[in-house]
Amino acid sequence: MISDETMHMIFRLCSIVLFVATVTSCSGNYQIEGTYPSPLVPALPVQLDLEYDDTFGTYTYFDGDAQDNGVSIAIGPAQVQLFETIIEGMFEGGENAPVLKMKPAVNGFQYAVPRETRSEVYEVWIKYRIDIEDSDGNAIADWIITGYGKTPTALLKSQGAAINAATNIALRDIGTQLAIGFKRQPSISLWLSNNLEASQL
Amino acid sequence: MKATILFSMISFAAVLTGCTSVDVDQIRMEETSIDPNNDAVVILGRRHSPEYETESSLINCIGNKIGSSIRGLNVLDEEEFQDALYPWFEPRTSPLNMENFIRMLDQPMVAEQLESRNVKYIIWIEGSTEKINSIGSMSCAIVAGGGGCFGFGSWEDQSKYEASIWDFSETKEVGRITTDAQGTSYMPAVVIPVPLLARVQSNACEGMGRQLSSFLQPGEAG
Repeated sequence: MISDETMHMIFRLCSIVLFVATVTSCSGNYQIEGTYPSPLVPALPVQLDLEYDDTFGTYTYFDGDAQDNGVSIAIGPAQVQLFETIIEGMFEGGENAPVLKMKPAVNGFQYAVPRETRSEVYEVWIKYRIDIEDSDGNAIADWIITGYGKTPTALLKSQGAAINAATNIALRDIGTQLAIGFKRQPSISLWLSNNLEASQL
Repeated sequence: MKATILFSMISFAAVLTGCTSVDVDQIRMEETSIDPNNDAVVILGRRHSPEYETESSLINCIGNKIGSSIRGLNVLDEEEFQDALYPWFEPRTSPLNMENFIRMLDQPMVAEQLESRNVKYIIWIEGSTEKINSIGSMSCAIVAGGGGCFGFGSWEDQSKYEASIWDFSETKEVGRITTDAQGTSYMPAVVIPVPLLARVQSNACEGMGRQLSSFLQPGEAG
């Protein structure tokens, strides 16, 4: 039986031989795909309406000339799925439930590959600006959160698979901060205590 | 002549290969017992540090070792467990010590999920396998009609892992097991590279899995 490490070395050798043929491997168009679990938190009796701008669902990060030799990473559909799954698990709405609006927008995206950092991990950072408003459009909170994801290089893992994995971990990190940090934001906490019974918090 | 040189290099390296050393140490803080028909364990990798990441492959390997050593024991899948308890066992939120874990259990939904899965022990694995030294060089070339490599390389891998075993029902840390493994791999190349590898991570998994099995079920794992 060939061990993982033997396979790893064979793969590395093949990589050396194929290096010349794959010098353009730093370029690529990646569509992030993933599934995100519903958060295990008590649902708040608040109706939360998610509102995106036109570009949120199609957001694609471009590095260099994406049409030629650059990198493009499309996170739009994945981030929509993440926010919808998390919000659905965090809020239960209901009759006469107070209404909040959440407007997330991508504020920054960065990635690093082993070739650049000389480490053996792929890393992704995604920063969001999340505006929270009440039903009348009054600003409640202006919340900045940054998600971080990393994944080690591994046997037969392509750059696309590694970037996908690191981005999904970063998106999960965003979901973690949303699910746990929402009630801890001072201005949101104040709004909740003014609009919900103490037993509902 | 070429065949002779190749044979000599392979023979030389073969003598040296396989020299992996593994040290396993154990600290027992409390007595342990497990009922394989009712109890479950989950093995989780620590991934909070930017410096390293405990490999999922090692977690799966240790889980398989324990599952095969203690027949019938339900070893929960790490990914499924993290999804079911999301977001409480993510890199940002995983409890790093027992005090934080007890605080996490104040969330009734978290405690209920752990109870519903009959989790008896949570085993945290922290560490990684890294290349710590390498010497030699190898050059490969592709020309019309073929290609090949020539040279000799050698590198040393080191695995350092620590397992911390938490008893969920008692909310106590019951023991720690450390595994250090080190080995040197060689790769001579005359046209074709011949990797002669030290299975460092595999041996660390083997040592850790065997020790964890006997720790959880003293005198019965085998």
